[in-house]
Amino acid sequence: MKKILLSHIFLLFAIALIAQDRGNVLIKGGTVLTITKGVRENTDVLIEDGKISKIGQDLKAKSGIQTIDAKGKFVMPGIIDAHSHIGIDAVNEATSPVTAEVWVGDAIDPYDVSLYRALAGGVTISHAMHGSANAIGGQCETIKHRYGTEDPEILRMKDAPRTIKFALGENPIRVHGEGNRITPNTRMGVEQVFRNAFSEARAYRQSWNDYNAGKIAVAPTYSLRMETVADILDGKIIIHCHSYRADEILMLMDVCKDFGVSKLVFQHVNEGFKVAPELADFGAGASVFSDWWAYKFEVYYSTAYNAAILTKNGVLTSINSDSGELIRHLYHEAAKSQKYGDLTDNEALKLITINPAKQLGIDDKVGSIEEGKDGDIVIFDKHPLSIYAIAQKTLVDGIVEFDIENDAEDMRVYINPEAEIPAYIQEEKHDHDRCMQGVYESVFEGH
Amino acid sequence: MQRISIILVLLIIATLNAAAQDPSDYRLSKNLVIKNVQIISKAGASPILGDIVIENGIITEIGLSTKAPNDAEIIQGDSLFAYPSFIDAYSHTAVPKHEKKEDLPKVKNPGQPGYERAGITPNRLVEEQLDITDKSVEEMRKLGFGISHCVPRGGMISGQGSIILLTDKNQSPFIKKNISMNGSMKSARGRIYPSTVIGVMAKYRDLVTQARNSQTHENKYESNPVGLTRPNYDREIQALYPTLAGKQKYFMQGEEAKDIHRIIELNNSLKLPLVIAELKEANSALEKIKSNNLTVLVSLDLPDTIKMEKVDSTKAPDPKREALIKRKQESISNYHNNTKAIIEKGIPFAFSFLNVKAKDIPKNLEMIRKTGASDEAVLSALTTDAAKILGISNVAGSLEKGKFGNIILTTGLLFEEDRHIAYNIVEGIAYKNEKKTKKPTKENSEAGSLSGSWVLVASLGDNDQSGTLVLNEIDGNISGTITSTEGIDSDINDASWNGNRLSFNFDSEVDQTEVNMQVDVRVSFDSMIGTITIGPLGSFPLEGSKSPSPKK
Amino acid sequence: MKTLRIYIVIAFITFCGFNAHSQLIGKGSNETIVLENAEIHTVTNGIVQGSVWLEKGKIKAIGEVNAPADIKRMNCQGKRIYPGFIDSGTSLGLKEIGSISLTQDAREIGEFHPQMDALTAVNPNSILIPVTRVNGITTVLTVPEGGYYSGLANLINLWGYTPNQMDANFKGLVMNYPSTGKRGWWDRRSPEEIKKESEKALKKFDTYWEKAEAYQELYEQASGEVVYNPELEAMRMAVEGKMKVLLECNSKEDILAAIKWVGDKNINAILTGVKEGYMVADSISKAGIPVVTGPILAVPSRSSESYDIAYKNTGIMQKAGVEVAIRTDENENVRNLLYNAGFAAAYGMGIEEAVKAITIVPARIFGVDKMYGSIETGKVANLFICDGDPFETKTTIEQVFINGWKIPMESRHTLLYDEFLERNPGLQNKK
Repeated sequence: MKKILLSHIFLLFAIALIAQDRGNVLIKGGTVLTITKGVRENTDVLIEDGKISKIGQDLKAKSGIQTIDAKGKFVMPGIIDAHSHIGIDAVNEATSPVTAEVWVGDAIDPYDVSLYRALAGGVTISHAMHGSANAIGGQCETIKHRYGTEDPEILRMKDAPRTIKFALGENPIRVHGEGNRITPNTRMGVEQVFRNAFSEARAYRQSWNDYNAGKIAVAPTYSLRMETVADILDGKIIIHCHSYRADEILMLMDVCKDFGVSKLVFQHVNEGFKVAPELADFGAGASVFSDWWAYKFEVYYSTAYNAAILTKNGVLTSINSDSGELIRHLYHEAAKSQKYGDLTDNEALKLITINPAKQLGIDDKVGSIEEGKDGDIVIFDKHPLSIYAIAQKTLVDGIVEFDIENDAEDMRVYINPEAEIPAYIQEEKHDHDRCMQGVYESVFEGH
Repeated sequence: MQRISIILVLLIIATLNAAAQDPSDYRLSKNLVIKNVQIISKAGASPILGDIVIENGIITEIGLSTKAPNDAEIIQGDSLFAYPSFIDAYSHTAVPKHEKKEDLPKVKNPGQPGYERAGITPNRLVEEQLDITDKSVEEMRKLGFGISHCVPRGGMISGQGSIILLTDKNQSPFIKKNISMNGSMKSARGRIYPSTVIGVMAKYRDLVTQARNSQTHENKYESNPVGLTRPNYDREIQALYPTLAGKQKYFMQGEEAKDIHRIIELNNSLKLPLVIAELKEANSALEKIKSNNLTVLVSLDLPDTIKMEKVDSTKAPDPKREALIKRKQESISNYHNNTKAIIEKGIPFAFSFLNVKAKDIPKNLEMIRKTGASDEAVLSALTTDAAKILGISNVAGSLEKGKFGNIILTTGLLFEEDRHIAYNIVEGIAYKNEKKTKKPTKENSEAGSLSGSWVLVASLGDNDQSGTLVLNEIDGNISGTITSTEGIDSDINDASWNGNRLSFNFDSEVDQTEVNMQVDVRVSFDSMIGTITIGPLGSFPLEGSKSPSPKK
Repeated sequence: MKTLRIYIVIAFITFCGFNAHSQLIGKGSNETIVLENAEIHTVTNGIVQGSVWLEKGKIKAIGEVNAPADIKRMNCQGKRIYPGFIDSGTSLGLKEIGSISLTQDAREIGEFHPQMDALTAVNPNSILIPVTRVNGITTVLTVPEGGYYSGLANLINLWGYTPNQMDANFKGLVMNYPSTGKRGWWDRRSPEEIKKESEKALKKFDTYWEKAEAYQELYEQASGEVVYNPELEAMRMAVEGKMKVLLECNSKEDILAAIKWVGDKNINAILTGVKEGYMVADSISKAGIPVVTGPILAVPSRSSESYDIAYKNTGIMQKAGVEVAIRTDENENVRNLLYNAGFAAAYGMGIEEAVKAITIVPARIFGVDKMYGSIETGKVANLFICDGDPFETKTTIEQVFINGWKIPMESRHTLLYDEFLERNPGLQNKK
């Protein structure tokens, strides 16, 4: 016990010290699943200053560089989750059908132990998303799991493009139509929320252009909301849209076409398989669950073969977690695409690496093991698509953030001095509506 | 008309009553001389023997042979020490909480609740909420405070704060009005925009940009309105102009390190003259605070140390729990070390008192000193540094000619144990603090000491149960063990002791079921009498008497 | 004439279309069949190479069987056969769509409703059932929820057109031991408040049990001539120790308290949930009470606990000598039972024990091991054929038999796959 405590203190200390750094490390002799350039047996990966500098056999590292023996092990790029809500303190600003101005990047929570648990499942990057209460929700943040810091800024993946959450169907209808008796109360209403917002933003941007060109004397009233929507129209922000039904998916693609918006990824998109040809034609991405369904009516006509159908129809597809539990075994979720639709190993692994990287616009930096990319790596003892695979080490920017050899029980970064010693907490039985976090919890509060 | 006159009558009666209640008002003079006192003019200065003369509330002379006005009240300062009264740099002193719950009507469109419901009231002045007779004024004064920077209660932008003197004897307590704009990350109440921290941060960005633009618009309009759309003249927006111009500092509450990081990041775009208030734990944010040249107000609201439980050798050790307690203890020390870390980093700071209970202030200051923060730094933070941050250095913070006659007279050096603040003089008005007679329960009185062994008898209907209670009191912290006649030991929990009432609870087995028992007794000398509440069974009478203590 | 032709064409298209879009599952067939050349994972008698002969819903013979030539045969060369997997805690058949309360039949009103019988509300035609059984799960315990005495759980086979056809002959009384834990991360009650509330709850919980005991005595004295009381009547068997009690408890403190509670009573108890069993595995083992635990794919119940402790929990208990079965506590995704067991296997339990935890162990715990839980002569023909380790996701479950019925290997999910993989018509540009 004493040993555990000591190592634990040491580990925390070490992580705190190195959180901002970029590591140098040589991973030797593993089976390297590069994702983009095939499987390379008995191959070394050298990471210098946080970047993959060399891949090859018998690489020599400068003296003093840490070496990891990966003989008999599988080395793959850090897993990327295109949809999660871990590491943030606020999910839903559920008070208006359009809240483009809010940004979950403002509420990064570096203390969330879910980040460590995700690392322990090989996940190095997650897309911390706004919830699905609003048709146009808030902006999201792509975070790197640099666990151990107290500085939210360190978690930000600074060079990732901006993204924003949209939502279709039951959730915005329930919150605003049923809840507050304001549009949208139907899927027709949801469409009009987009058309209104897009049109208004276009006019807004035009009037600012006019003002800046001296055509009008007084500046229009500044609106961060309209600025943001106008940025979407200008292609500066990727839309990530919570969606389920085929009809609503088609609707948003039509709206986007009408306004010249092309950066579009559908999230959940349970009925994506029904409109796979249209998705492929538009060039929209699809980020799906491996097998979630039937938790609400709009996912009753779903299939676990969704990822496979989409992939085989040429849609850029990823598998996400949307859950602090699932994010710990995305490699297993990806493997289900082999049960449901016989994807090849590489096709399955792409669902959690290069494909989500593309959907987040960061595929030039992460998502595969290639020279020049970030040193985000996970090493498994068995092939990661095997149910028996256990992550051994997870590296972010060449820094070992999870090491099974050095894994203490209590990995909290921060302890609120006024909080009780952790008590047993009943896990919510069906964690499916994390997307609605912040909308309903107050119902439970106060007993 | 009739209504007005009734109100007038009521007002007059009220005033008369107030006056009648305190006849001492008539005797008050703002002229005062303190004779023959050890003067510590400011933090770090050595004591100098002399007199201090205050005329009309202002120090007019300090020295050996002084002339005082004839009507001056005289305080003989022999064996007393004179320090500048403390300055509270940020609090709700004199701003009472509204007791009644607001039953606000439902907002039609929760996305657009309007400024006030959203908690955006920069135009609100603390004056509107001020009640100088509020008990918080006396509480702070008793502790040695003479000046408070009081800020309004409210939401994300609560309004403008003022600096007041902690005396209700003068016409108006204000030193400087509306010196600060005050805000927090508080979201709006009742599921309206902004309902989350992300909504609040977006709203700040929106508001500040809107205010900047609006000011430009107004200036333009003022210089030549021809052909221009009329400005909105929103009073909320207009109220932000002094802050934007850097004339009014923006005090923003930020407690945890994570909040502080957020605030600093937000202000990188807002560019407000920021002061972080009610800061509790800077830790990882220290470097950022420093590099952004920020001033902070450190909260005196500190978490209690964990009372280390006695190791019960009969129970199996629980290393897991011990490790958790240890980590929590570390976290508490981090909080306690906060001030010291800020001093070491060279960050300008004073203290803020928004959440701390008045009674905890001396204890918590002591806790901060114990971490190694120097007396000089702590005293500066309470006086000169606070004055500097509030922009009143020229009139307050030290004992100098021309400054306010705000002086505390103590019976010993400020941080000496057992020293007592005999007087707190605020603007020349002396408030005497009667020394509380020590309760007959301190260690010095064996008869009244709690510590020791007690025999308890509980009358449970037709049978009596007895037990032995061993109590150990150190500085008000009480631990103890209760042993039943069957020899079952239980540690007592949540013990509280106010000098004559003692309460605690413990868990014991009754018929193989763990039951919580709550004891509530009044203690006088060597007996206690009260009740014991046994789980769901109800309350029963309890009596106890102290066993003679073995001589050490 | 022309119109007639159009009608025919339309009729034809509609017909084809209907066929293509019908998401109906085909019929099963009750077969007498010999599954030949298989690697038979009997669970109770190791791995046997050879055949399994199914007849009249039962396993007639295993290994080298001498079946008459006219009996149908299926060549299982290179395949494995396992007994049907059993999920020891689900709400299958009781719930259809998560967010639509009118499709939820698991939770009655009130705190005490022990007479609520899950079997009554099992919908044999739930679309969720085929989705589950094609993954090799032939049998599940379906469990009522809510209150302290929730009702009667029932073991069901996932084949049949009436609840009775599905009944797998086990009923157990579901009770929730009053929890001293937090209800969720949003629960802001102080430890004192929680303690107070749970003490109050425990009193109610106890009082009700005492009532049932009194009722049972009265019943015996009056030889059954008692006033109609369906609640207490439902508990009579449990009080006598003739019906098993499924006692839900999860935190370390609650598990210990529940063991103590059971200790001084004549109860045939099974602890369910038992998330923190790893902390008190020895105490559970010593008490000799079997455990149903899960889901395995779960986060730790305290922020200070190890990331993988929920994966390890089952193995730790099993190694301490606890008889432990695995449940998913799921509904639409009971199919992931395989992977819950797979994770338990990977994190310390080992494959063999993990397989037992979803076959023979639950059969034993529920007292139906004469019929289910292994491939043995005389047992019910619940089994499946697969092409590898069933825990591995790559493995295909090729054929499932329940009660000897050859189950159509179709579900909404496979049918949608068939229909939409190559959608026809595909992309059509308007304009």
